[in-house]
Amino acid sequence: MKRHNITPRIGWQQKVEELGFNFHTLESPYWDESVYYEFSMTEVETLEKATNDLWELSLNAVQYVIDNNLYHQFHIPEWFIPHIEDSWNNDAPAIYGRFDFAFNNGKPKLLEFNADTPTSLFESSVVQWHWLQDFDERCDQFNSIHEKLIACWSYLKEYLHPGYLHFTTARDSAEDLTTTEYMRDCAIQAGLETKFLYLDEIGWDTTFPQFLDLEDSIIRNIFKLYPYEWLVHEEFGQNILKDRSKTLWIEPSWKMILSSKAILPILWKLNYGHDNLLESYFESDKELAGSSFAKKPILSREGANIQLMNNGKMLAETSGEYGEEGYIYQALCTLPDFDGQYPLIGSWIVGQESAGIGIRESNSLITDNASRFVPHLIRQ
Amino acid sequence: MKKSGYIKLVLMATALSACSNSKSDRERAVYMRSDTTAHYSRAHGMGMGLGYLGYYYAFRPYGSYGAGGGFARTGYYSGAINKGSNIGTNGVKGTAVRGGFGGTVRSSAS
Repeated sequence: MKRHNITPRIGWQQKVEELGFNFHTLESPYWDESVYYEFSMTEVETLEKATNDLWELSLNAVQYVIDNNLYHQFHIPEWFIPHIEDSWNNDAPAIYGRFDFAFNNGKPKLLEFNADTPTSLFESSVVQWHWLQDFDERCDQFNSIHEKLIACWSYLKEYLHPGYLHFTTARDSAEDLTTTEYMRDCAIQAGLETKFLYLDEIGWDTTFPQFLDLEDSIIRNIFKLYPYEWLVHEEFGQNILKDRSKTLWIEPSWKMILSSKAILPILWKLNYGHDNLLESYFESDKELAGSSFAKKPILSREGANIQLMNNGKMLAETSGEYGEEGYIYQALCTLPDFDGQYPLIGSWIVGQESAGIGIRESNSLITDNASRFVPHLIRQ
Repeated sequence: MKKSGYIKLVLMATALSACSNSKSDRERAVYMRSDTTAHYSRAHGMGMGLGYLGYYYAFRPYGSYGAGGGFARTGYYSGAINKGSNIGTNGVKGTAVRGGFGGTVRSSAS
């Protein structure tokens, strides 16, 4: 893995906007093509294998949590457990997830799994692919996300309820809207009939308990880019179980187990010593983590409320509003240092297959919502 | 090869630009519906893409959340409809409540 400084394309802002990528610059550039990372094919194959292996381990871990009724460790409300178990037992359609890796000396280590609402999908799938066409189209890239998403929607088609597939997200986030609309784009190309509505536009029929869209049509299938831990605590949350139409929610609710940091100690316990996992413990066993660890909230987003300790000394820390559900302790594994720039690799699983990577680069050891997305390529 | 052979988008640029650009008077006049629980009146076919999104984004309701979390509509982003309009007909009209999801947003969902 090598880092290269380059000159951005002339007019890159217009080029990415033409693709529909309108949040390329926040307070500073979020999309950063003044840099790219180069991988060898061996490194890519290592990442691909790690992603496929971890997906398999993750599915086993979900079964373990369900079989052993460990929901309390995830702070999942008891009333929602039947929905999770139904979605698992009925193989409710799931489409994607993103494993975040620290990649040092050719070895990927799992930092966390964004299994429910992963973003940076459009940047990974489309924007960096177009960048490569301009930069050096002869080069390869670890990125078949787009065609795998279309293929996956196409495969899932027969498992959906008849009718439209709705798409929803919250208002006022260009990033989330982009991810949702991109996903809808892929579903349309797979031949599905779709509609978009914002979350607050979802209706609840008080006469015949079911969810309705803006045309008062029944919502039978819905892709939501909104975390389950938020959904279940909102006014309509409990309606998900009362819904007589048994709407298919995508991602399915069993992903609530995998998207929590509480899965990390369980993965470690079930796969002790695995090459791609880091030692991880719940608070009750935190002394096992020693004096060098990452302390992470069980539920958190965008790198908030994380502490990195090295030999008992604070290495880095972020603030935020998470942590009330408790923390997990993970063996310290810092991101690789490229002259003060720290890349995190987000490795996509689409359907059941590793599909490609996106890289977030940060000036600090903790990747957060200010970290930049940088493209990559493969050189033989 | 590890990369996609070809990438085509059928929706993206249109969808996202529709969110940030205001509609022309002509567009607003054409894509009319009565309120959030009534059917849209259609002036064009239901093809996806520009036609579909054109009428769809023209009628986003706006309003605020009350103390109980319910969404109180106070109007529409489109000027083509009066906030008091309630002229549609529908079998379940009046039985749908909205605004029960989407209130926890802290930042991006991921």
